[in-house]
Amino acid sequence: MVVLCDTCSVLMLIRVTPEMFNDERYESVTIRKVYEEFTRRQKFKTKYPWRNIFRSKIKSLGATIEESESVTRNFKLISNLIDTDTVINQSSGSFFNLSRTDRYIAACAATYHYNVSTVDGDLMDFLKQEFKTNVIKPLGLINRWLEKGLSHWDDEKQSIIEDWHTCNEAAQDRADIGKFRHLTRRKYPGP
Amino acid sequence: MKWEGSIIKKKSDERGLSITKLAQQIGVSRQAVNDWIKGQVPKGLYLIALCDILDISPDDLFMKGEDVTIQMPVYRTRRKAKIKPEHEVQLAELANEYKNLFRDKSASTIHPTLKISNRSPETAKIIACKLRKAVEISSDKPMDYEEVFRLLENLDIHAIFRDFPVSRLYAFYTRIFEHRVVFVDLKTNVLDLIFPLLHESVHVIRNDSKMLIVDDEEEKFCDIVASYTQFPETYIEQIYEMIVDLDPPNQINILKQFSQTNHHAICGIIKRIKDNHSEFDLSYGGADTNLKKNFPKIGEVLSKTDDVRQFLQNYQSLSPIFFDILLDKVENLTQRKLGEIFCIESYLDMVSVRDEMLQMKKLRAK
Repeated sequence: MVVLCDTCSVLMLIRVTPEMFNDERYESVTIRKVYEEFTRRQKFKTKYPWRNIFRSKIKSLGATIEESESVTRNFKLISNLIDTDTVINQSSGSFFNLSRTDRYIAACAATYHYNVSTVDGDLMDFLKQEFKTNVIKPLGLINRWLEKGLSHWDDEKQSIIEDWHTCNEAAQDRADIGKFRHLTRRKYPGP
Repeated sequence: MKWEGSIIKKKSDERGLSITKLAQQIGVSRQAVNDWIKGQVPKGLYLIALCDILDISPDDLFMKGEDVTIQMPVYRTRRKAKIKPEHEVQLAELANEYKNLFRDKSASTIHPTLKISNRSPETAKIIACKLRKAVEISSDKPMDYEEVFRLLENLDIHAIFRDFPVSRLYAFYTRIFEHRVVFVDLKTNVLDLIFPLLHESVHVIRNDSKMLIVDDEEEKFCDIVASYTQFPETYIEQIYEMIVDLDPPNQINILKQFSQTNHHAICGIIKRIKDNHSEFDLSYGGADTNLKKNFPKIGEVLSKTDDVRQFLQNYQSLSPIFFDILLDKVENLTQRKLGEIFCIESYLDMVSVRDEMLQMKKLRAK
C-alpha cells in the first residue's frame, strides 16, 4: 500500500521519521513539486526553521514516473474538470480550490493508484469524491509504522508531535488518536 | 472550460462500441453513460477510463471557452518591475488561490469621469488631479502610502498582501471575476510601494471593461499619471527653487529632508525635476537606500505586534473592501486557508484570528 505524501504531510512527518522516503518498508513516496515547496516556500522558512536539515531526506519519485504520459494526461484532465466550475465539494458545498501541486498529487495518485497522505481538506475531499482514493492523515501513517514495528516511539518523537500544536497543524482523526494512545501508551499531545 | 459529453457517443460510434459495451468496460450503468452524453460531468476516475478506452485526450472531453475568470495583464516592460512570461503563470496561480472568494460577489464599475480615452500629457494631468481629489489631498502635498491605499478603496480595488514568488515586482494588477485586484508583495518597503500602486491603479482605470494588451506607450502613460498623482507640480517646483543654486551634497540633504517628512523616495522627485528642467542633473548614489531604512516594509506595517486584533485592524484599514469579503466568508474559511490568505501562519495563532474575525462580523451586523 504505497502512500503519496503531500507537502503538509511531509512537513509533519519528516522529523518523526527522516528515513520515510529512503527505506522501502515505509512505503512512502512524494513528488518533486512537494520537494520544491518544502525547500522554496518563503512562509515555511520561519514556520519550520529546521527544514533545511531534512531537505536531503526527501526523495521524489523521479521524472520518469512523475512526468509520464499518463500523469501528464491525468493532470490535464483534473485541471479541465476543476475549471468547468461544475464540480462542487459535497462536504463543504464550495467549489474545489486546488493548487497546481495538489492537482499533480491527485494526478499521480489516480495514475498509479496510490493512497494519499494529507491534511488539506479540499484535496482530501476531492480525492475521495472523484477518485475514491484512500486518504490517510499523518497520525494514521505513524500508527501504521508503529504497528509494523518500523518505528520505536520515544520522548523525542513525542515532542515533535507536541510541535504540531505550535505550528497550527490540522487536527487528526479521533480514531487515529485513540489508536496512537493504545500503541504508544502515551497521551496524544498534538491537535 | 465546458464539458463536451457528445464526444463520447461520437468516439464510441467510430470505434464500433455500443453504449452498453462502453458502460460495461467502465463498470457503470448504461444510464450513467447516457447522462454523461447529455451533459453530466463524470467523476474523475470515469474520465480517466473514458480517455483510456476511447483513446481520447482531455481536451477532446472539454471545450475551451474564453476564460474570463482570471485575467492577467500581458505587459511589463518597466526597468525593475518586470513580469516575464514564465512569471505570468506563477502569478496567475497565486491569483487563482483567491478565485473562490470573489466568485459570487458582484463588482462595481469605475466612475465614468475617471475613464481615460487618450494618452496625451494633458489627459495625464487631468486624471492625476481627479485621483488626488478622490482622496482629498491638499494640492501641495505628495501622496503617502496610506493615502494610496485609500485611493484603491475609492476605486473599488481589492488590495491583497502576499509573499510573491517573483522578486522585485512590488505589486501587480489582475482581474478576478470582473473584480479589480492588486496584489502587493509583503516584502516591499512602503516607499517603493507608492509609485507601483499608483501605476497599477491607472491600469485598472484604463482596463476597466476589458483586460488590454499593454504596450510600452501605455506603460509610459501610466508612469506619467502615477508620477503626477504622487507629486503635484507645486511640490516639485517648491523643491526645485530651494535646491537649484546649492551644491550637490546640500541638494541631496534638502531632498532627504523632504523625502523623510513627506514619505517618498528621492529618485521619483529627481526624475520629475529633470523632466521639468532638462538642465538639472544630480547623482543621488545610495541616498534612497539609506532613506528606506527609516521606513518599514508593508508586511511590517501589518504585523507591528503579535496582537491578533491589531493585525486584523491594520489589514482592514489598508484593504477594507477585501477584508469585507473575508468577513462575509469567514465561516467557510478554515484556519489553514485563512493563514494562507493572510500569510501569517508562522507567527499568529490562527484559531484566535478566526475567532476575532467572527467577533468582528457580529459587530458589523449590529
